[in-house]
Amino acid sequence: MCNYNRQKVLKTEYVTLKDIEKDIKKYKLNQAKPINNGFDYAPVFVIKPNFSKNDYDIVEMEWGFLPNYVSDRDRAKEFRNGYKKPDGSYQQGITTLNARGEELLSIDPKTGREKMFRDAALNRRCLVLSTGFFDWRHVYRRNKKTGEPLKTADKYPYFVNLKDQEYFFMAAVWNPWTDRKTGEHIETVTIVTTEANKLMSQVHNAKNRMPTILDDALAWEWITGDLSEQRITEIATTQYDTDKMQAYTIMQDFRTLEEPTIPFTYPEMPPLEQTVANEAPPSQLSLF
Amino acid sequence: MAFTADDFVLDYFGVKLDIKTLDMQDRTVFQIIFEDGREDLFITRATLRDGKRYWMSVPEDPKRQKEAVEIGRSIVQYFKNIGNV
Repeated sequence: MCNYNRQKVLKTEYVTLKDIEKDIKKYKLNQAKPINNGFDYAPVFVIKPNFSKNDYDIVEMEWGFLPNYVSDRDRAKEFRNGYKKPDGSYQQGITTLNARGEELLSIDPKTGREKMFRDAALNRRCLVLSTGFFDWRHVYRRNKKTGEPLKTADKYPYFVNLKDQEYFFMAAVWNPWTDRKTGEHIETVTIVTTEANKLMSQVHNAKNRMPTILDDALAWEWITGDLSEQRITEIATTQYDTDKMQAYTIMQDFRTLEEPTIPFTYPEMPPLEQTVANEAPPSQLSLF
Repeated sequence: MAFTADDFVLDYFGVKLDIKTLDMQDRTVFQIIFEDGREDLFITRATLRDGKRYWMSVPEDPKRQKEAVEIGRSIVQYFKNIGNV
C-alpha cells in the first residue's frame, strides 16, 4: 500500500500517478518556449537522479551555475555581469552557462584551490534535455581590392540537432543555491562542453566547442554511476558522432520568430561537410 | 495559447480558470490555468484503496490538494450541467 497526497492508494494506482507525473513534465517541456537564451538565466528542463540514484526526476533549474559564495541576488547579478570595484577598477563578470569538460575537476596547482565546478562534477551530475541548439558560423569575407580577409566576420545562425532523436541529453552539473537575504532557494545548472567534432568545428568555428551530448547509456552512467575522476572526465569530453547530427542555416532574426528552426538558405554560404569518411578516429568513448 | 474544443472556463472564488483536458496514461488529466498567475495545477481522479474516487494534484503537493478537490468538484458539476456525465 502507498500514500499519494496523504491518501491511501494501491501500488498499481501509485505507479500510474507517478507515470502521469512524468507525462506532465514532458508535456510542460513541449509547451516551453522554443528558445532558451542563456543570458536570460531562464529555467531549463533538467534530468536529476533521485537520492538513491535508481530513478530520476525532470525538474526546472536556472541556467547559469551560481557557486555558494555568491550570497544573494544582487551579488549574483554582479557575479554574472561584472561590477565596478571600490578602487575604481572593473571586475569582469563570470559566465557559467557552460563548463569545459576537460577542466571540470581541475585543481589550481599553485593555490591548491578547486575549480568552481569540481564538487558538483563529483557529486551533482545531471542532464539538460534539449531538442537542439543554436550556434553561429563566422565567415570572413575578403577585401575586394586587397584580397585580404576582413577583420569582422559575418555571422550565420545554425540550428543543430540529432538526426533521429526528438530529444537528447547534454551533460551538466548543478548546484543548490540560497539567497541569504531573502531565503529564495533554487537549483542552478551549467552545461558541459567538449571539443567540437567535425560538424561543429565548421558551425561553431569561432570557438571550436560543442555541448557534451550523451547517448542513453552514457547519460544514465553520468547521472547514476559511482564514477572515478578519470571516468567523469572521459564522459565529460565525449564527442558525439558527426554522422548522427545535422546542422542547417536559419533566419538571422530567428529569435523573434514563432518557429525559429525553419531552414533558410544563404546563397553565399559554403555547404558543411557532413561526411567523416576521411576523418581521423574520433575521441569517442567505447561503450564496451 | 490555442485552445481546443475540449477546453473550458470555470470560476474559482472569483478567479477565472482555463481548463485544458489532457489524455495521459489512459486517464483524463486536467490542466488548470489560473488567471491570477499562480502556478498551473494538474489534477486527475484517482481510486483510493477503499474504491472511492478522489481528486489528486499531480505531482504530489499536499499544499494544493484542497484546490484539487474543490476544482475537481466544479469540473464534475460543469460536465453534469452540459449533460456529459
